[in-house]
This record gives sequence, C-alpha cells and structure tokens, in this order.
Amino acid sequence: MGIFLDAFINVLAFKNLAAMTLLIPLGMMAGALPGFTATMAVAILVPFTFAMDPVMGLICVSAVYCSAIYGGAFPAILINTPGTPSSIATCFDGYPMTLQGRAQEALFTIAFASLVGGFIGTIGLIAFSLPLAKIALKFGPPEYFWVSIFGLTIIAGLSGDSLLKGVAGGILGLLISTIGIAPVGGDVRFTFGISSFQGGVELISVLIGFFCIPEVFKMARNPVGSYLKNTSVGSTVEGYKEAIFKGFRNAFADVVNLIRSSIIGLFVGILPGAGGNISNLIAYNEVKRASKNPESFGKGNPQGIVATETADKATIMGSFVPLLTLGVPGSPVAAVVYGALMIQGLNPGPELFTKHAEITYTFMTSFFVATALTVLIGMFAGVLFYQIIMRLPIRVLVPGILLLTIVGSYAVRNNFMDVIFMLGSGYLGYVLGKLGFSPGPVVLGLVLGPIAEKGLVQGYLMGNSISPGMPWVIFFTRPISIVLIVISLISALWPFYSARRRRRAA
Amino acid sequence: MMLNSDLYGGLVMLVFAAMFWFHIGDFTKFGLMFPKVIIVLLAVTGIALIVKSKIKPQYVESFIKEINKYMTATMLWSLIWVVSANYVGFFVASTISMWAIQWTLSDERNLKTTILSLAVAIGSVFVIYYVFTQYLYIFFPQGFLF
Repeated sequence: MGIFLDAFINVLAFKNLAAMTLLIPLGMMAGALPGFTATMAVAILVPFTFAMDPVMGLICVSAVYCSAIYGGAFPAILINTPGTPSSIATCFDGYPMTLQGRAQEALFTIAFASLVGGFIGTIGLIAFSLPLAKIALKFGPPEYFWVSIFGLTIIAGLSGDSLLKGVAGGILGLLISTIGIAPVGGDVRFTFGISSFQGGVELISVLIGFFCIPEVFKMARNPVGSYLKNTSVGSTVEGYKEAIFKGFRNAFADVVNLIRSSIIGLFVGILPGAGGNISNLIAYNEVKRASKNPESFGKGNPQGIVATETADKATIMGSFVPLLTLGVPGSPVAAVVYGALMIQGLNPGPELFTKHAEITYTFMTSFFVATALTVLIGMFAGVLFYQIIMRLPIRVLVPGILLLTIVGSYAVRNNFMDVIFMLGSGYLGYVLGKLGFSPGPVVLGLVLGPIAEKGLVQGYLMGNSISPGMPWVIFFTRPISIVLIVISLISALWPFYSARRRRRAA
Repeated sequence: MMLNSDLYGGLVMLVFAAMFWFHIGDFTKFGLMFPKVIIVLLAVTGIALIVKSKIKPQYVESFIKEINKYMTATMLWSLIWVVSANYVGFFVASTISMWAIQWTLSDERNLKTTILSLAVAIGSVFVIYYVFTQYLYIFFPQGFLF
C-alpha cells in the first residue's frame, strides 16, 4: 500500500501536474486531427522525455496517450470523422446526436464515460497485470483467428437495415486488407501496378474516406449558413449547463454498460496486435445486443457512445500490461514506450516490478491523474471545439475539413497515394452509403483482415507441424479456441434469436 | 426515380471480386490461401444480393438527383486538389483549391468575399504547412511550383 501512496505523491508533484496540464491540450489536438494518431503524438513526445527524469517522462507519455485518444472523439461526434481508429464506433451514435442538436450532450457524455473507463482500466492494470498477461500469452495463431471471427460476428450489429449488405461490406473490407505484402509468404499482392500499395492500404485513409468525405460532400450540397444552422434543422440546440447534467445522467444510466465496456476494453488492449480500433466496436455491439431497444442505436442513443468511449479508454491501460509485465509491446504506442524505457535504462519485463518498482507503479498510477485531468480539460476543449466548428460558415468548413483530411491521410506515411486512396474511398463510401451499405462493416473487415489472415496461415503451419495431414484440427481442439468458437456462435446467432423473441413478444 | 439497391450493390461486389480475381498472380500457397477464400465469398455474397434483388428487392431514392452543382463542384475540386498536389506542389494546389471551393460555395461573389476567401485559404494552408514542416518534420510535395 505504501508504494501506491508514494506513487501518488510522485504523480501529484507540481512539476508533473504542470507538464500534464500543458501536454493534454496538445494531445487532444493531435487526436482530433484525422490521420494524426496517438502513436504519432507519443512518438513525437518521446525524444523530449530523454532529458527528463524517468518518472516525469513516463507521466508525460500517459498524459499525451490518454488525451490523444480522448481528442479522437471530438471530430467523430461533430463531423462524423473518427480522429483516431479508437473512435470509429463513436461516430455511429455521436454524429446522429449532433444532427439532433445534442452535440454538447454527447461531448459531456463521453467525458464522464471516459473517466469511468480510465479508472477501471487503471485499476485493472495495477491489480491484475500479471494474471492477465499470462492469459494473453496463451493466445496463439488459432486463437487470434477465432478472435477475428468473433470480431466479424458483430457485423450484424453494424449492418443497418440489411444484414446481407453488412456481410458483403465486411468481406469487401477483408479483401481490401489483403492488398500489399502477405503476412506469411511475403507475396506482393493486388497492388494493381501501384508501387505504394506494396505497404498495404492505410487504415486511416480508408476511415477518413468512408466516414468523413461523404459527409463533407453532403455538407456542400447546401452551403448557405453555418454548420450549426444546417445540422440542427428542426432541433433545439441545448445549452451547456443542461448538456453537462444530461451527459452525467447518460453515462451513469447503465452501470452494467460502463463496467462491461471497460472490461472489454481492458482485455482487448492486453491482446498483442488488438487495440482500441477493435474494442470500441465490440463494446458497441455488446451494448446494442444487451439493449431492450436495439433499433435506437445508430440514431443517437447515448449508450452507444458511453460503451465505445469507456472501452477505448480502458484499452489504453490494457495495452501496457504485456509491455510492463513481460516486455512484449502489444500495441504501436507500447512499442514506442518500449524504446523510451530502454533509453531511460529500464528493461521492460519483470525487472520493472522488482528493481524499478517505484517508477513502474508511479507510471501506472499516473493514468488515474492523466484520466482525471484529460476529462476536466476535455470538457472545456470539447465545448471550444464545438463552438469553432458550429459557428463556421459551411463554405469555409468544407475546404477546411478537406485540408485536414488530406494532411491527415498524407502524414501517416508521407505518401500522396494514400490521399488519392482516401478520396477514392470517399467516393465509394458515398455511393455504397446511398445503396444502403454502412461503412462500419467495411472498416471492421479492414481492421480484422490482417489478424484473421495471420492467424489462419500461421495456425495452419502450426497444425501441419503438429499433425501433418490434418492441419485444421488445431483450430478446433485448443481449449481457448473452443471457448472462442462457442462465443462466436452465440454472437452470430444472437440477432436471429433476438429477432424471433421480439416477434413472439409482439 | 427509385434504384434497386440490392442489384447495384451486388454488381459492385462482383466488380470488386473480379478485379481481385484477375490480379491473382503467381502467389505462394500461403499468400493465396486467405484472399482466394475471401474473393469467392465476396462473389457469392454479390450473387446473393442480385438474387435477392429479384425475389425481395430493396429500393432507395436515386441519389443522382441530390448531387447538385455545389456538390459536383466540391467533388471535382477535391479530385483536382489531390491529383495536382504531387505535381504542382502541396502549398499552391491547396491554396488554389481551398479558395476555389470557398468561392464556388459562396452565395454572394464580389471582390470582398473573393479576397476574404483567398486570405482564409492562404492563412489555413500556411499554418498547416508551417506546423507540419517545422515542428512535426512532415514534408509535403514541392512539385514544380511549391
């Protein structure tokens, strides 16, 4: 207990609080800029931490990481553009709330939800790191394959009106994910003569293309007036005091949702290779599935954004579990932090909890303070962001957003082909959207494609070496695989069961 | 006018499946295993959508009608912007495109709004360019102009 008290005192030192307060708005700006990911924000920060003492450097990392993920929700809610992949599902209900004149309510709802997600995630990181890391280590290629299949079963929840179109969109996403070098075998596939495609398709470009560009085009259709006037037609725009109250009520209206989403976020974060881009979608699907009124999702149900934002905050802490306990960086940000720890002379792994326990616990505890400060500053930043976006005339906002999307798509790999691909995805997203295809399943397929393919091929190779002639048996015989198959089956069949139950009740 | 969305959706999926199928090259067994299954699945789903379009079609409002002159202009300028930036240079292409989109979407076009739009375009592009090149070390294409 004493070590935690010392850790708290360390975190609450004036210089650390000042550094966090200074960095959090910058992290939020980075997160809010489509294409500028939390990894990039942390990577830019890390060189500056070399001159700091290890405690302060790591505290700065936690502040920037938390705030960048938080900032990603602002454009998701206000302009239907996920600032980071962790906010994909926040668009589904956040943007409809904006269209109903409830943008401020949505911004305060995510603040309170983030607070809970961050706190539960930090408690999980501190209390259950070692056992959770051991479970994560038991996941081999067959388990990852089934995790991706389970992920794909949530397509039903993201499909909109037609399940078949949702499935088709998901498969299209999986197919797009195969562009580039094969994860096993090294084949250069489906580049269509464009050398830039050898590195694959950049998720951020597709995200921006499918979610943001169609909205920008729709905005341009009626360019007279401000965004506020055009988006809130027929709705009353609420004041911020009312919005704070409603945000608080939304966040705590369903405590089960808060806890479930936090646990999903924490667990997905622990799995190496999985992250906020998956956890927010799973949490969204689970809240929709558990709801008595699933058809209200996608139309501005606040529980949707509570689930996604709670989950992706808990994922932040989860992603540090394998790094701190085993020395395995499970996410791109964790890999950057791995380098930062090494340069500070700290070897990631068990040594962190023995030789450098004080620094490690201070780092873990700093997530409490980073979360609280992020939420506090985020409330003001959200309102400011809202005021700026909403008051701008459409004729300025449209080219302004286009500029940011172009810069965001380019900045990921310094490659203009990504920008062209982003715009192409935008045109395709617009047409598919009008034909009744939701962008969610396409993006889900794109996110899960590489995990599914790697799991399938590596699992096949494993199976072939264990039982030649029957390589597929391995996918159905390992205990965790069996559990995942059962969960996937339940998840896939649930929409049919639920629909039948509703029909009977009616 | 109403569109049979299942039919057009199915055709789009078949086009994608065909595009990828005809680009299957001399891949190794491991490189081909996953995409081959996915292409077949996409084709099957596309066919299923087309079959559904005949049995139980879903109709949507034709979206061609809602693409007005403002939307068309924005779509075209965006395309010109991203295609030209690599050749003309990011700064010049972005400034001109931003200005042109603002000018197109303006309800009143006079000297004042023209100058104001140009100032907004130059200012926005300059801030982005400066921050990204000076602080984030992300360099944009210079092209033959800038």
